[in-house]
Amino acid sequence: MRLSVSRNRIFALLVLISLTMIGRLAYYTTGRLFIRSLLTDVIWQESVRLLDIIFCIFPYILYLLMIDLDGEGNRELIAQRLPHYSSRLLSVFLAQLLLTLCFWLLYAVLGLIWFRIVFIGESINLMSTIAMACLSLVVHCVSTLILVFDYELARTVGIAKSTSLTVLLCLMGLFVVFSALNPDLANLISPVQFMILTPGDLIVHSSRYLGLGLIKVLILLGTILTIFRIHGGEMI
Amino acid sequence: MKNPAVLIEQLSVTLGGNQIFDEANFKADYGKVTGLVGPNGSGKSVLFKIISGFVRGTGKNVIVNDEQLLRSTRFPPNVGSLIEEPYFIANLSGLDNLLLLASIKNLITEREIVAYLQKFGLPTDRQAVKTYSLGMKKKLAIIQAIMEQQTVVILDEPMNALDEHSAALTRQVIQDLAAVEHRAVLLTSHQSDDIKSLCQEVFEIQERRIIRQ
Ligand SMILES: Nc1ncnc2c1ncn2[C@@H]1O[C@H](COP(=O)(O)OP(=O)(O)O)[C@@H](O)[C@H]1O
Ligand SMILES: [Mg+2]
Repeated sequence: MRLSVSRNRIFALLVLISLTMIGRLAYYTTGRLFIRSLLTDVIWQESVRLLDIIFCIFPYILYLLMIDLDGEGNRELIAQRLPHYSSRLLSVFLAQLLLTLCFWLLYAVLGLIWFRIVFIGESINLMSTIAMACLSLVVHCVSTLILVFDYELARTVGIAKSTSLTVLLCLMGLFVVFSALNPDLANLISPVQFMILTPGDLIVHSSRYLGLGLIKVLILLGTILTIFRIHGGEMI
Repeated sequence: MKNPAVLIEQLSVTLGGNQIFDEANFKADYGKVTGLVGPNGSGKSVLFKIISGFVRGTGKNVIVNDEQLLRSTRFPPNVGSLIEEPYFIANLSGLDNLLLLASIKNLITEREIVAYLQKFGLPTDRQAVKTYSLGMKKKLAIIQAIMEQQTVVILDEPMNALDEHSAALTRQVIQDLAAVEHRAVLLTSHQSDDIKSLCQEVFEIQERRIIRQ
């Protein structure tokens, strides 16, 4: 297993987590005492919202940048050496979908719990939140599909790679719109994106694949624990 | 091996709305260097991508190493390709990149890869590919295309960016691949001298057709 292959992504993940944390902390947690009053009183609410949206968008820009950082450009050289590339891709996709689903669910549940804690006394529209979450799940799934099959689409259907990337960008844009509508939820589930194994991970060996998957699971668990610690503090 | 290494019949290819090939025919044999010439943008690289299975066309036959590529999404077996600028993982060394690729099929050992690197004068230490010059990357790409005894070797402008010594070495390697190892080598080059001196067969792309010379 080669860590250096996904070093960029791990680094970006750390940046993402920090940003999401800072964004959320600035908006809610620490705000209770000092920063929030500073933000809400001195700067008005809208700009805070804007800030939050920027924090939401940033991970996706990073995510897009990372698509090609991971050495998936040598996919042709890899594909050429694998006898059943398409079926291999299908298994990658299914594995990714499963991972995405699991962790999306986890985050969604965490998000709802968090909502209840933070917005005590404030009414939230549970149905619209769930609807938005489902929409974002669809976006996640389709972008996974495009990421995994980007090259296959270009090869077999003959569409240019830029087309599928454009579709992906549009989907990301759609997600950013969701974020603007409901930044709190988007903030919470954005790290799910990083559970998606991009084709750069493309399993040369299944052991390597499992290794990478494990690293991601560990990182995500770390993130969840961190979130929990923060929430725990808030609960007390 | 009686069948030709590559047999293309009535191939049509349309990319991004413009037709690159219209019922083109092409053939390459084992033990020969087959040259492909034509002006820039005539479709030399596209033809090589078709043969490698990276792009798909329509028509009667695209058979590479006895595998029909037209009605399948599989890649042809045992083909090594250098087409345009191949991509390597920038953070890894040349050796690690080659080891990574070799680990998929597990046909060759690290010793053999190191021998190839030394033959082409490439570093065998931890120097990352991102610090390589264009010529060094090209040599790395040539090595990956030939290192696993691929029986069809596709070399698209292999001599570009190479210094005199490396170009001479590559010419020798190309000759040996065909004459000694009996592989099919497909070659393009801007240097008409190279085509003349290396190739036993030459095809030219003219107006979406491929003409045998
Ligand atoms: N993916 C693509 N989409 C659309 N057009 C392409 C694509 N790849 C190549 N072409 C076009 O095909 C023609 C042949 O390209 P190429 O094979 O690279 O030429 P060359 O003979 O110089 O290697 C060019 O006109 C190029 O614009
Ligand atoms: Mg070309």
